[in-house]
Amino acid sequence: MIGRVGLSCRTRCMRNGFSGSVWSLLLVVVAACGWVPADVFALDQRIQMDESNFDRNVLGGTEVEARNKCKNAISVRIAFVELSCQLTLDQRKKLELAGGGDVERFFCAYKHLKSEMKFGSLTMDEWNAMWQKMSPLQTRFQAGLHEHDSLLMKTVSSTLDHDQLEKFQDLQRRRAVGLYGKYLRVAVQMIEQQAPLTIDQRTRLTDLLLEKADLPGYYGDGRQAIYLVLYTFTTVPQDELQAIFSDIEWTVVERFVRVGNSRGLQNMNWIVR
Amino acid sequence: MSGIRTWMFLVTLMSAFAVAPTADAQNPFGEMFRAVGNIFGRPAAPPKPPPPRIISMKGIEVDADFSNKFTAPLRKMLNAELHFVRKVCEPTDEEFAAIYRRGIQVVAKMARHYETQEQAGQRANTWELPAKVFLRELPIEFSELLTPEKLVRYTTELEARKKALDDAARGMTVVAIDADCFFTPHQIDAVDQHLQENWSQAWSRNHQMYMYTQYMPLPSTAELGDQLTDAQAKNWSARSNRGRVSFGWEFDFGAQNHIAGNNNGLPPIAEPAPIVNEAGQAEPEAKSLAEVTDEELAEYEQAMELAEAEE
Repeated sequence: MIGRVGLSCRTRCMRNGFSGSVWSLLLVVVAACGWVPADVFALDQRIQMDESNFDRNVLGGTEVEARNKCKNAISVRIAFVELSCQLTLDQRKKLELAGGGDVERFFCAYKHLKSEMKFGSLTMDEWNAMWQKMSPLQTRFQAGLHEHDSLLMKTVSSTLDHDQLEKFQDLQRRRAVGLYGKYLRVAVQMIEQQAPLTIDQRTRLTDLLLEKADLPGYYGDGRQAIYLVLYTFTTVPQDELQAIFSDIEWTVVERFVRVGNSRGLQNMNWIVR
Repeated sequence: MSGIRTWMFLVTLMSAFAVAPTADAQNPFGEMFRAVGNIFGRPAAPPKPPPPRIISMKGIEVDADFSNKFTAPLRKMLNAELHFVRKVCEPTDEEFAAIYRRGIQVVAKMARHYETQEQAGQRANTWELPAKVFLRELPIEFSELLTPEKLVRYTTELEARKKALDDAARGMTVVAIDADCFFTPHQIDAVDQHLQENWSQAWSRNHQMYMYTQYMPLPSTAELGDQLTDAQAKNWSARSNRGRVSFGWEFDFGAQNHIAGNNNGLPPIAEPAPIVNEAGQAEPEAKSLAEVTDEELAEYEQAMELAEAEE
């Protein structure tokens, strides 16, 4: 309708001596100055979506690039296992196969979704519906395909012998401690934005958590990771935690811990100390 | 018909851009093209992040009651700082009243400064973080209002807070890279150390940004030196770079708290009543350190020694 109105106005103006380009320029100026609400024009807005756009949205590049990235990721994960223990050729092959299985499982879901997609000129509603379907797959790819519930990690547990597994788990624990320390600094800063801490308070807080908190084995994206670290505040003795803060400070800290408690437990696995 | 449709699409794009709040007045079209590139998957070259603009409080002359849109969030931050001064320095009522008034003046100057930057079209994500400005300016401003001993305690604590802020930025950078590179325990510390030695202020952002790691400014493969293995370096080079995104000044300011909410900080400190003497007259302000005579300083040191001996 907007198009028809625009067309008829344009025709009348051209009869009166307005050139098409002047009319167009006027429209641009009017819109750019914000005199016309954007949603009026958005009625007619369409988005061109093709297969390569789909790939870039889900995989951050082409399928070939994404598969190369996955191949590298498997090498990085197996190198990590090998850092803890010597793998036999057979074990290594099994892990590579399992890693490849995770990748294929993902690409199977990706291809299935792609085959269901309608490409071409999409309305905003169609685009939004498409995005709703693409988004979980994008998140899954960005988070990595070899986390704790992956075929690769399950195969590590079933393929390594007792001695190897112990060494691997020890390496994982040390990695978990290292990462937790880094995340903890951030979570403490989030609290300090509202209630700054003294050197003594900061030291006591980080010492208590590093010593006694449960260690997450997987963090997810940034937001989830912060919630998770705040959740770990609930896994230390609460009287010891509360003793670090004054009463008014504790009301602030408690709010953070409550948020962590309610949001930090999704998709979680823990590293046993 | 197809001509008018093309123009309508362009107009829509322009109008959406015109009505959307943005601080990117320096290069609006660059931002627009990057946004379009993100939607349609064409990776645009990320702009080189500019260094943060450092506030110089010198030369900013403004009344203490000056106020603009930046004043309210800055006052909230000042409130937390005033709680901190109380906790660390345990000032007398007279000292605290003077500190409070000076804090309000600092906020007025900062509000004026940020307004000037905004009017000059500088992007909010290039402004120096208010949290850092407070940490740098408050000890200077309060130096003449606190006793030397209290001032030493205060500056020591603020230095530690500055370090903790930088440590957090570095820590989050390490874990953001780890998401793609899966570090060994040794690498976690080695990369942290490397970043400490080669830190770029362009990687420091308001820490609310850490909740959205995909938009964090992160070092390139080259900037990480030889810390990564070949496979890790390939993974890190292949990541999508989204450039330096601004979510608006409130976000970049640290005025929003995405976890605990914006209004859940420490309780507001009321303005201290003016100190009056027995005759009901307002007491003069505390002397600045420059005004203290040698005799008064000697008297003070003697009193301190006596107090220590009594303890």
